[in-house]
Amino acid sequence: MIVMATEMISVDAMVNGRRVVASVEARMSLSDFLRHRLGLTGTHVGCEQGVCGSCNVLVDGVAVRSCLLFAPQVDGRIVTTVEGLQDIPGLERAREAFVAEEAFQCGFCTPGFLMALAEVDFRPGEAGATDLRQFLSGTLCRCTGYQTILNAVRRLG
Amino acid sequence: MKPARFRYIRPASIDEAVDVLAEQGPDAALLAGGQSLVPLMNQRLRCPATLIDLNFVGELDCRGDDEASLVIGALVRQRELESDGALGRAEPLFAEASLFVGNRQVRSRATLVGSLAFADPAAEYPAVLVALGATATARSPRGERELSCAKVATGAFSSSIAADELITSVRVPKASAGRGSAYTEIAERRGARALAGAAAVVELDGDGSVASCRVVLAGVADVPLQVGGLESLRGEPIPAGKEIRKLLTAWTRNIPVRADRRADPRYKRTLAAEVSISALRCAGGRARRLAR
Repeated sequence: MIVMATEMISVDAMVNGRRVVASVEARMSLSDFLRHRLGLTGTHVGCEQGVCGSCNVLVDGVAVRSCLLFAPQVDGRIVTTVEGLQDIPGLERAREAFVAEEAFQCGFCTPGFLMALAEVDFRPGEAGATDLRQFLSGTLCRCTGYQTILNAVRRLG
Repeated sequence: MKPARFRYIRPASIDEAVDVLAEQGPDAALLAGGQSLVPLMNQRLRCPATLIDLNFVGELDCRGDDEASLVIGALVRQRELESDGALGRAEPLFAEASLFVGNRQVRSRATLVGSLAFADPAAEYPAVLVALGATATARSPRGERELSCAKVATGAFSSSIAADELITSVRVPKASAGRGSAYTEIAERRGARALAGAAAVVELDGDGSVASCRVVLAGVADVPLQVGGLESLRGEPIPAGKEIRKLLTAWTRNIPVRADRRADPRYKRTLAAEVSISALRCAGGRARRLAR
């Protein structure tokens, strides 16, 4: 059992293919850890309440909200952020589709959308069959540029 | 905002977790998925002195499957309840309700047991568990007890689970041949808090008459609200849609409701009637098809 008071706790994780060993305060969110300690500022922080989805990252290949995880919780896990996209099959295609459809206005939400898509590898025809509005509902675009985002995702399957 | 400081404890077994919880007292909070707790901590609406992280307790990440029931451990994520997950395939009511719960990234972390324990009046899964007749197993230094999921919530965000108790799993009775179920909900947007939701489970006997019938409302009262007056259906064939409408409209007319700025009591009762009618009709139809 690990017992820690308010002092520092160690984290040992793989982030974008690199081993990271660090000492953090237990209350530090994963999003702050990525941004402030590792300099991975591609993970954006919008609401810090799990609503907006801009901070989506993959933990062990599953898309989750990094603002709702504490950094010590990824001890021993594999974390992938938008900076690690080249390592994920199909995500290069997603990025190309976003560019082709101009699926961003201010771009703040884009990493969140890409990471929500990062855990699925759409097979041909699949994106058309999935309820994409439902699938994308966990990420907000405050410019309301949803139509081009939907168009981009439709290109994927 | 950032959470206040807390002591972080990471037990490795259920026994350790129960010991730590007893030792730390009521200022401790249990962290499983954290999808309800952590937003509150980030807003400092909750500032537990100690956070007990259950995510490293392997025993809680368990799924059991015997002849009579499914056992779902406290670390099983809601993602597994979706239609492409093993538990969603085993119990279609979970899969159907999942469509209304938060969003995919939240369900990847959030747990079924956590939703039951948190006792949010608008939560879908507690109503589903009550409709399915599920039970919860709670551990404390005093031992283990099993209680009906209907007895867990005692009010909005408050429960009969003692400060030193940990719900380790829920047990869900398996579907029989003639059991049909349905979940439906009205909310401002998909994934938004339920204005009113209803889970219905109908079991038919071999001759097509109703063996049991339960409808439970989410987002209507402070706790999952079991629709009353359905005993009269037992032993009879499933009534026609018109009869169901009459019965449920009458029953919902005087129910206690939790009104808010989005829905006054009258509107709440209208919504409660509509979702319960639609869930019961749909579950009845499915039970009939499955019994055939």
